Amino acid sequence: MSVTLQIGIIVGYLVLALLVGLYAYRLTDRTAEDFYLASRTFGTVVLLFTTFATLLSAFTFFAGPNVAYLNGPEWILVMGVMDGIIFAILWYVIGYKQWLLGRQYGYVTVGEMLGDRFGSRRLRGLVAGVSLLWLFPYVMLQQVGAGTALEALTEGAISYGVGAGLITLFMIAYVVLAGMRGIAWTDTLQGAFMLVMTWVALLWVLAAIGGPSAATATLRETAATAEFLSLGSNYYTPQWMLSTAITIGFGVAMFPQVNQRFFAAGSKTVLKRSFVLWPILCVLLFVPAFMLGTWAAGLEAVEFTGDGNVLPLILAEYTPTWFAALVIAGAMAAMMSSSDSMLLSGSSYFTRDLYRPFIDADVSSRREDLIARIGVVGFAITAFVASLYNPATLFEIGDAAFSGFAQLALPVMVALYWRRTTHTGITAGIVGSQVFYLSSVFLWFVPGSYAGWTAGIVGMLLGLALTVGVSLVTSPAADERQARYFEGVGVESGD
Amino acid sequence: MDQGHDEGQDRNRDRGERPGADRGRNRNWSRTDVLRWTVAAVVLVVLAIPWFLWGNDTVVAGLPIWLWWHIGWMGLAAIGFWVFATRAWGVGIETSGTPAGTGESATNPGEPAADTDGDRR
Repeated sequence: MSVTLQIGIIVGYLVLALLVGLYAYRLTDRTAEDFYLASRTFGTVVLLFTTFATLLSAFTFFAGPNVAYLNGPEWILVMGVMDGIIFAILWYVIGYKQWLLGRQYGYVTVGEMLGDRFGSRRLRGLVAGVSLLWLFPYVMLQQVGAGTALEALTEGAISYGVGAGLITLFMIAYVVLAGMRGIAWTDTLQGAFMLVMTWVALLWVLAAIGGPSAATATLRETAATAEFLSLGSNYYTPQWMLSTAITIGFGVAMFPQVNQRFFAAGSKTVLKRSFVLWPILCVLLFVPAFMLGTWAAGLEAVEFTGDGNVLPLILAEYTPTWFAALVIAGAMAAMMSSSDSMLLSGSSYFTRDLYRPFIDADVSSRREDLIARIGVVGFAITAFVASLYNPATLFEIGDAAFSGFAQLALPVMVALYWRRTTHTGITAGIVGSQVFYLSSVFLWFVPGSYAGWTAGIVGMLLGLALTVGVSLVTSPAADERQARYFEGVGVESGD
Repeated sequence: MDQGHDEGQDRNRDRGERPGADRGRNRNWSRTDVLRWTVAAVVLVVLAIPWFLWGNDTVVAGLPIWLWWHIGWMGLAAIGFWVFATRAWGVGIETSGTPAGTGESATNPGEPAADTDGDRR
């Protein structure tokens, strides 16, 4: 009975999302720009929640509470700094400038923006290639999360592989139909729903265990968690907290599905309002989600060993079955709203920056739209197959992808703000930092940590140094358009 | 400190002047503005974690005191962002002059960038 109920709730949820997608499909122009960016028309609520829901992934709902359960609530601070503040600042520094340039010159991807400025098809392909390299494992991560969650929820009635497969099929249908507009609408629903559910879950559990003071007192009395309340630990060192916050914060801004949303705002006012509300939205979600994980560590009723996820265990213990199913459905929705956006952006990077410049430059906008939809199918299926052989844990893959994207951020920022940046300089910065970071992940003799600082942050500094250093000693190529990012920026933009 | 309001007029006045006359440096926003807001941004990042409470385990109303600091700081950040958005939005980014490429033989927006990249290697 309860399994049927849970599956019923999840299916109901998916059907609702599909209906929204269908409705959006009826409104779309069949052009690539509409498919990718909803023709740059988002309002504040939609932009805010679509970005929010896109950032919330398996990482926030499953891996995050797990970290808090095992190591303490400092995770809230790390997430707050990275998402609430660093990302918000980049929202302006990278996002607003990209938005202005995108409106002025019609850019749809960051690779296109750089390729145009530096007069280089190769640079454009390089940025897209590097992005797809990191995006792929992350999409796989979402499918792993979905498969694991479905299997746990149905107590094995739906196996991991079938669960991940069903979610993949649904996402394909949904993304191909709905495009950016539909995705953003369901994101808005999902983001709001998840925020409310997290708070209800928190209140429910707190009511059952005697309120926050009692829950915290239990933490202090339990030997394993007595250290949780003091700020910092062997796990949460200042270097680790800062490294993680900085690499993930910068990485988020370069994640295709997030970065592309910078282009999609309808007006300057929309960007401003979303920017102001952002830190509040983050703290409203992170505090309840990760405190739930933390408090659970003091509860004898919840036994979590690091295998699977702690959040479903807590809900199963303290809330009715239908509610647990609603939250898990919401968490799966969060994963899907990240994945569907990733699929869409991944496919746009492929068609826009690889297919068009290198294979068929004269493709019509309508045909590009079709190819983009086919790209979604290919990307999703390949990631699904990979997820069946998933080798590492959620957190490790996720962390590698974020740091991988973070390597792109500083070379791009230098190019956006420093006129002397040369094509050779930015190429050296991107290639050098990627090679270094990839080596640290995959080669045993390249260390992952430098005096407590992660390889991700060392790679970022390397990328910065290479971009600036090589630009200083090289001269711009003949076809670079140096003025492009610096003259008349924002002149045409209205509110 | 109220540049934000007449920024639009400045832009209109500046429009049509020689492109690149000031090498793209912004005329509406001074270097001091950029510096001031950069410092504010760094402070917002650095103090979001209360380093001065390191090792402190005081609990207030069921949550560690350092978590309360963080929650308050995020509220402060939102206020700071609001002040920035109303007064200084555009700092370091918006420039005067003609959009680059409007008069030149730039490729069509969205068209693949020039194919000549291989030649220079």
